[in-house]
Amino acid sequence: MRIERELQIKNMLGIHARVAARIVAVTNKYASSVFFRTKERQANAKNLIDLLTLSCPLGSIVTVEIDGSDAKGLFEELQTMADDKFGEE
Amino acid sequence: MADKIYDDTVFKGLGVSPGIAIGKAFLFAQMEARAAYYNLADDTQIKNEIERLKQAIAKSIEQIEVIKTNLLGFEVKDPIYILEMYAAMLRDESFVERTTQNIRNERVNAEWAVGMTVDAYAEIFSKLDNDYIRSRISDVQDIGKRIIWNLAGEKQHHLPEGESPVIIVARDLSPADTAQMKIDRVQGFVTDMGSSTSHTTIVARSLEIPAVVGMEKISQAIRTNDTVIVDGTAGLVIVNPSPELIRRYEARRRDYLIARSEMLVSAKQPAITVDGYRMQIGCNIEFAEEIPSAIEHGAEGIGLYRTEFLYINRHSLASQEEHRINYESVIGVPPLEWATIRTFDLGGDKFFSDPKLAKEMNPQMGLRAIRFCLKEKEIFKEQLRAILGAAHRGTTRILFPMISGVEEIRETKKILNGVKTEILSQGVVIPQDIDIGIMIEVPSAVVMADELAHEVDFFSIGTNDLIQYALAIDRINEHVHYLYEPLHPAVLRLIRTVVIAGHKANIRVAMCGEMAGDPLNTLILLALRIDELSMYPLAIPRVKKIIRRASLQEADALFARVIHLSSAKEIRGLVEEYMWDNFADILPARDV
Repeated sequence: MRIERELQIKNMLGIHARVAARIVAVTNKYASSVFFRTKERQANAKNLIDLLTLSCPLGSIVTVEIDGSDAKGLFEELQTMADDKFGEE
Repeated sequence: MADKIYDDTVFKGLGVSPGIAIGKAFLFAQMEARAAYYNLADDTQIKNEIERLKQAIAKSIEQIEVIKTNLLGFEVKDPIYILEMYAAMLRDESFVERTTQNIRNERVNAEWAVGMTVDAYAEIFSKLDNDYIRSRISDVQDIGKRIIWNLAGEKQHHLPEGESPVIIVARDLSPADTAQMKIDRVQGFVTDMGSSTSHTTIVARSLEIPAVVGMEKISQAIRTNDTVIVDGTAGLVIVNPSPELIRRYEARRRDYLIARSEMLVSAKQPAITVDGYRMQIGCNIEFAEEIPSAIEHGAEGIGLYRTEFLYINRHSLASQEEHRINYESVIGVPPLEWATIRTFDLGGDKFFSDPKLAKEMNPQMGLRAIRFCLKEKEIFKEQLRAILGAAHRGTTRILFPMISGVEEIRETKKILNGVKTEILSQGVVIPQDIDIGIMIEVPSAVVMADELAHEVDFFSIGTNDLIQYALAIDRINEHVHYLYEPLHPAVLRLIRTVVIAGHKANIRVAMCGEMAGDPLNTLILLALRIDELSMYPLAIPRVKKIIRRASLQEADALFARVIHLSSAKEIRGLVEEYMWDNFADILPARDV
């Protein structure tokens, strides 16, 4: 199964180190491959350093591309985290 | 190995623990490994390098997990999150992928390949527009260092096999470093960093082995197995000395040991001036094992028992029982008359075994000591319960560090009383006469000393921190260390304020910083009427001997002359001149 959806980054600091660490902790639980894409770059969302270099501030829109048998569950979890502002402000 | 010519190279540093050691150097491995470059000739080597890389990364993750576990009991969220981030970076597949490609395509060794990857990331990060994320490159560099370090020589981190004694040479030593050494094989310490108050110094003194610190770059000049002479008295290190020089230093070493034993003969006599003023002399210790030596050197009580070792470099928090057993081993040991237990002074530079974790901007002024205790009350209460539980052994004083104002000591006392009530109700017997004191080490506590004196039974002036805070000097920064001056007129006035405030309220005033143990300061401290000087045990015999020969009258006369001087330099000049004119035979030999 292949999903391509958008996520909005709603927390103040964007995808900074702590958030990125939280994201990779989630993505690595899943078998599916997962990439985050912005206008400029693409990052493997299972790799922390990669994800950091995406440098997504507040308000940015990230295209999430997931491919694999558990793609749906993974996207839902990411969506919940993003809606919850990754537990931040 | 090439034949070594005796080069007699002499390096000058700060002698912080006296004595002479002659032996083989052991270079204690640093985290900042400089990677060497090798070209890989054949494909088997490529395979080997990739395997080494994977093992080094696995090892690095393992180390991070261990540090993380060690910290878990403390509820310190930030460092743990940094560790989780490090672990996640180490698991970053693209990092591994890039590095293995470097090994394969560029045919370089794993260390070099890691360096290339880190450099490539530095390039990428430098182009990001977000300041915060751009600065995260330092974390990538840190994990790179750790991998390289694990690649380069995990073995170097441990002393070589065997029983032969060594002289440890290092950039700097943390409590975690010294804790993992087989310390009975260490004959001396030589470090680039450090001062008279740093960890290396404290350990060297407590073990009575010579140490020279603040040598800037000596760790790059000495190699493992070089023969080294460490003269901790003069602050000299000689690398690859000629046999002639070794003979001379062996003679000096014997002289030193003889002089020391002569000093010890009179060490147990009390410190009473010729005109009858008795100074109480305590010792500063960290381990119960130091007590026999402290007694031998003439300690009358324990003026400062540091409890930090119960917290650092462990896999879990020490149990209350462990704390109690430790306190019982230092309280009521005859002939020592009292034991002052300082509650934990964690935070700042002492807490984290990995200095990278203590990344507060200004850790010395951050969440440490009593501030940490008042925040993490449960950890604090465990310690208080253990101290109270051990107090039946003998005269116990409890000393709270880093009090900056009245609210803190009141809240501290409230917690202490709560713990008392709680354990009394469990039937534990607590002696009535436990004295409560505070460290005077924050300038605001000096200003408020008259108010604080009504709250406690004694003061103990912690000069190391007080001088550092009052003069705004980072004591471990080698560039400003020269400004660290106990005889600064401002420092003398601060101390005088504290003593006057304490005595007015009828409480004792002790001093437990390095300043107390330097015999050059003894007359000044007599004139200030400090009641108790507490110092590292080795310093006691000299200070006592000076007090026995001195009179309050001459101390007061000297002080009257210096207190009118406005510069630290003038005061030091005058005090040193007086001391050398009158006590030269007692003072440690001057550098020749």
